Amino acid sequence: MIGVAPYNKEADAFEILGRATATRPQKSYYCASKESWKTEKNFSDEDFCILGYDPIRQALKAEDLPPVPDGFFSNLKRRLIYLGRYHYIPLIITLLLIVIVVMIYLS
Amino acid sequence: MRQDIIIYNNTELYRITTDEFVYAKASGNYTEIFLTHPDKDKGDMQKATLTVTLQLGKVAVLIAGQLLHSMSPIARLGNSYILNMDYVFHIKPREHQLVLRDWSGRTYFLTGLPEEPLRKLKSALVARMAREEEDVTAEGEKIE
Repeated sequence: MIGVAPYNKEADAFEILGRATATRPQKSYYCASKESWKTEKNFSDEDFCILGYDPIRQALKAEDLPPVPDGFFSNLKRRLIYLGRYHYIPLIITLLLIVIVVMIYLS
Repeated sequence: MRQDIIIYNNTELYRITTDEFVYAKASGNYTEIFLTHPDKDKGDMQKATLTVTLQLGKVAVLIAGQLLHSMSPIARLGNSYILNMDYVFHIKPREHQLVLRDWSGRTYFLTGLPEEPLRKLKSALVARMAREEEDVTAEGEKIE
C-alpha cells in the first residue's frame, strides 16, 4: 500500500483498509468501488466492486507522492481511527475500566 | 497482467490464472467457475467449468486477498456474480444483460442481472479506458 493517508481522506480509508484486509482477510475484502470496501454481510445485489487493489491508486507513482509525516499527532490520529474502526470493543472496555478506576479513586 | 488465483476449501484446491477466469456464479453453497475454453486440441469441454464447495462471497474474499497488490481485472457484480472485466463484450443495463467474450471468441450470455451494478461496471470500464489513455500519453511525453 502506498501511504498518503494524512493528505487524503479517501486514501486514509484505503490504507487502514489495506492493513485490516492483510491482517483479517477472511472477514473483509478490498473493494475499489466508490464505497471503498465491503464485507460479505453488507454486500447487496445493487453493489459492484473491483476485487483487489484499486487501479486508480496503482497508477499513482510513488515518487509523485508527498512523504508521509511521522509526527506524533498525525500518527496518533490515524491510530485512533484504526482502533475505533477495527478494535472498538477492547477500546470501549479499556475506557470503561479507566472510568471505573477514576470513580473509585474519587469516591 | 496475468496472475495466479488459488481457490481452496478444506478438501480441495484449484490454481487458475486471471486470464483463464471468465466468470463465477453463485449456486447456493456452491460456486460455479467458468474458465476460458480449454485447449481445442484436447476438446475437453468439461474442464471449462469448475464447481467449488464455497459460497461466492468466500471466493470473492479469496480473490480480493490475492489481488491486493496488483491491477485487478476481477470484479464482484451483485450478489451472484464475479467476472473478469477484460472479457466484457456487451453491457445492456436496461435489459439486465451482460455478454462476455473470451480470447477464443466464445461468448457467455448472462441475463437477469440487476441494473445498478451493470451501470457501475460500465462506468468502471470507461474510467479504466480513460486512465489507460492517460498512461499512454504520459509515457509518450516521457519518451519525447
